[in-house]
Amino acid sequence: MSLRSKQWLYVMLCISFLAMSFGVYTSTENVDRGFSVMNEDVRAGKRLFQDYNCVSCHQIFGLGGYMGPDLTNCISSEGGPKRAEMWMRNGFGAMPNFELSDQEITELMAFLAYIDKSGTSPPKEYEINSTGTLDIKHYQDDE
Amino acid sequence: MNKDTGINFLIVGIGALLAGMFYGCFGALQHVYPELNAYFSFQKTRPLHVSLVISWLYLGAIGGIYYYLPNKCGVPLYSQLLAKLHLWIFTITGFVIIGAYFMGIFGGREYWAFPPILAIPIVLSWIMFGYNYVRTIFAVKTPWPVYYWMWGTGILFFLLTFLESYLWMIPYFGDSIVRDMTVQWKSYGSIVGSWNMLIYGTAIFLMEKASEKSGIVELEEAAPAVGHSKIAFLLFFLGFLNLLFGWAHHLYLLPSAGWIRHMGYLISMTELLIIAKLIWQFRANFIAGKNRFHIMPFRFLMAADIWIFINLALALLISVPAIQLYTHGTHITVAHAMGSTIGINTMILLASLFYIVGEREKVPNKGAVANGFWIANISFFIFFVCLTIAGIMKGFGVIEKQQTFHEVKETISPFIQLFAYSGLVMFIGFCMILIPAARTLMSSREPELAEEASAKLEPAQ
Repeated sequence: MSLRSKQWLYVMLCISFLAMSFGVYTSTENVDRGFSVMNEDVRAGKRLFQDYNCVSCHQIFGLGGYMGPDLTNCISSEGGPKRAEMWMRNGFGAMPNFELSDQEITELMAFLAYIDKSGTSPPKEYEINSTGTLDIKHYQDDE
Repeated sequence: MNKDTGINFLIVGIGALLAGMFYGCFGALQHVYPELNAYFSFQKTRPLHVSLVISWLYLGAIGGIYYYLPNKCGVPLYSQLLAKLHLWIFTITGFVIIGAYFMGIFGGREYWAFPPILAIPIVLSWIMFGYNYVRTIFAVKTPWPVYYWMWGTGILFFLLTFLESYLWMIPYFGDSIVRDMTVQWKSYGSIVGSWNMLIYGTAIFLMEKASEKSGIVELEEAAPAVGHSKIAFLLFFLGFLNLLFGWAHHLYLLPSAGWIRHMGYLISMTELLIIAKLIWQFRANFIAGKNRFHIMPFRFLMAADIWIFINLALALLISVPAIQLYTHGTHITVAHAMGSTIGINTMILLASLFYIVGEREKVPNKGAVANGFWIANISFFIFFVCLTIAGIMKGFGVIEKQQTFHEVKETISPFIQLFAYSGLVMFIGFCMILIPAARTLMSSREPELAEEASAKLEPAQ
């Protein structure tokens, strides 16, 4: 392979990367799911989620730590909001008591409620195609 | 302090790896004994482990580049001062990050859990590294070997994708969790590709340089062509393709756009296939000539070779979306990450480390390092198998039986215990390998004459 061919291939790959990145950044599919509950509490809750490094132990959409459960749909699960608040307020077992204020708990709960509306994890309804790909039903029809 | 900045990077890297493994062991024990969280919470242990071991991958690769360019490639660094500044900024920032974690100050994301402001010195020092590398390499008038391309690409794309991983700070990205996580894992996938570029480049460099002194006529004759061969450039461009587009397998189960989720299905694991072919061919050549397993750098390269095949099988399986339905968010993902970072990346970096150590001091094929090699690899195999089994059980428990988190935890508990204890043994094995290497590098011994170093590669009788 000549130097010119290598340079050409390299530049083409870089341009393709930029084009693909632009496509990812501007993709609109499902990005506004859960925006109906979006407010300043959600944004503050997200900052707290990072400030307390909750992802060390918990997952969102299966991405994160393994010490605690996946939190994507913890609010809509049985006894969800009460249970989530109890754990945040008191800690238990491996979950430390972070001595969160009422305001912090409200904000974290708002963030979790937003996450809950944004999709499903782990998947409950799905279809496996013959090509090995997967169609996951993340939302009910009325959402 | 050693006079050579590359060596100092390696010494700091060894310290980061040992400390990172220590926190990894402690974190694994916290899964078995959750009461340990009362003394030091997992919220601190995990970022300490992750940041330190990722630092090792970068420090080990960067140290090799700074060392090999002037000492082995005959290309003097454009600026020693910039290299020293890079080391100091990296090291000081590293200590500040560790201090922040200890004090429970976070604010970042997975991988980079530190406060975002600490990304600034990392970016600045990386720009210095990139500038120094470009000025150094562009002084070379002959055709570049593939590892120059790989190192340069790793440097450039780490900078771009590291910056991309902070796009969440802009509300357009941060406000939507779907867009935020898509961009986050897009950038992380490419960041992994960038360190693979730096490390795989080092692997090809080692194969070329080690062949030069192999004592096997065919290999020595072929050595100069290794870094210029068609297969090496094919590997490079496939690796580059993966770096750019092969990250989508992180996102199969996210509700992101379909084209994003399916893009990586075919691309994602081609990179490993090619490097496996390359190293396997190299190994076969060596076996055909003369068994060189007693030479430490080759021993680590062969270990990397075997781990590539084990990891390749797992990686190909979990890159199929239908299978990933069962493996995503389970310990199989951890097995895949550990298989890549310990089995492949660390083994290649240890080969590089012992290539440099071997120039200063004979590394006997018996004793602490050789025993450490076996202890580390055997315990790592048990560690890997335990994670894989635990992952399979969790996947089926969650998807097929709708088990709760606590039910799954109870079911996989014996494998998590064995995983934690094998991790401890692995740590001992790595201490046996790394401490003598660090001691040699920290002593003021200079590299010996090429003839003497070459003589040391001869088999022990």
